[in-house]
Amino acid sequence: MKNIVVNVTLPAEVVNYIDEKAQKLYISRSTVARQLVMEHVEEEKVVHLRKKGFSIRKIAELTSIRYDRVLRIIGQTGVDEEEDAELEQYMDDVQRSVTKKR
Amino acid sequence: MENYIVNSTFVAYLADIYENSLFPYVQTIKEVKEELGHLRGIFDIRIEEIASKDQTLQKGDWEKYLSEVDLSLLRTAKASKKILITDDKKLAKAAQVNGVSVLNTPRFIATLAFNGILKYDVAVSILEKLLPLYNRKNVLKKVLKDLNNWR
Repeated sequence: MKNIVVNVTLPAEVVNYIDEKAQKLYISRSTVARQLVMEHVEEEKVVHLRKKGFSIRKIAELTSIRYDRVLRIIGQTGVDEEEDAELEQYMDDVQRSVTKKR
Repeated sequence: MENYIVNSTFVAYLADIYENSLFPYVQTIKEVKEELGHLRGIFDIRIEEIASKDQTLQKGDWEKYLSEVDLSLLRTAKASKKILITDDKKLAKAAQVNGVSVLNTPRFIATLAFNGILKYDVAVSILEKLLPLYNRKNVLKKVLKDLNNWR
C-alpha cells in the first residue's frame, strides 16, 4: 500500500486527546492519528457495503480488511440489528424441525 | 444428532470466549478451516472436515453479494442436506432463498439445550459471554428469553 503524507488542521482538544493517547501507548502522535483515521475509514467502508447487502466474507475480499475485523465492526456499529422477520420465521421453523418435543 | 456445517463466524465467536466444547457437534469445509487458520493462527481446529460438494443454486442477483467460499458452503449444505450455522445475516438470507436449512450460533446452542445435549446452565453461560461481542444482540437476547421460558 502506497503511503501519502497529509497535513491536517485539527482543534486543540483533539490534538490533546491524541497526545494523551500517544503518551500512554509510547507511540508517536502521527501513529495515533493514523490509527484513528484508519479505524474510522474501515468502519465506514464496512457499514456502507453491509447496507448494500454484501456478506462478511465478500466485504473482507473487497476491502482487504480481515474477516474477523469486519465481523467485529458489524457488531460494534449495530448495522445488522434491524430485524428480518421473514428470516427469523424461517429459522424458527428450522429450529422447531430439529428440536425434540418440548 | 442432526448434521451441522459451520461458517467461520461460529468458530470466531466461540474462540473469542475460549469455548471449544461445541466443536465435536459440527463439521465444516476445507476452505473455512484454512480461512480460520490464517485468521487465528490455529491450523489444527478440532472440527471435522468434509469435502465441498457441488449443487445447483437458484439463479439470481443475490449471488454477486457473496464470495466463492460462501457459495461453496451453501452448495455443500444443500447437496448434503446439512443445516448451515452462520451469524452472517446476508449468507443466512441466501440460504433461505435456496431452501437450505440455516440457524445462527445462539439458536444452535439453544437447540442443543432443548435436545438435552447441553445443560441449560452451560447454554446460558455461553450465550451470556457471547452477548457483548455478538453482531445481532437483539437476536441473542431473544434466544436467552426463549431458553428461560423453556426452563
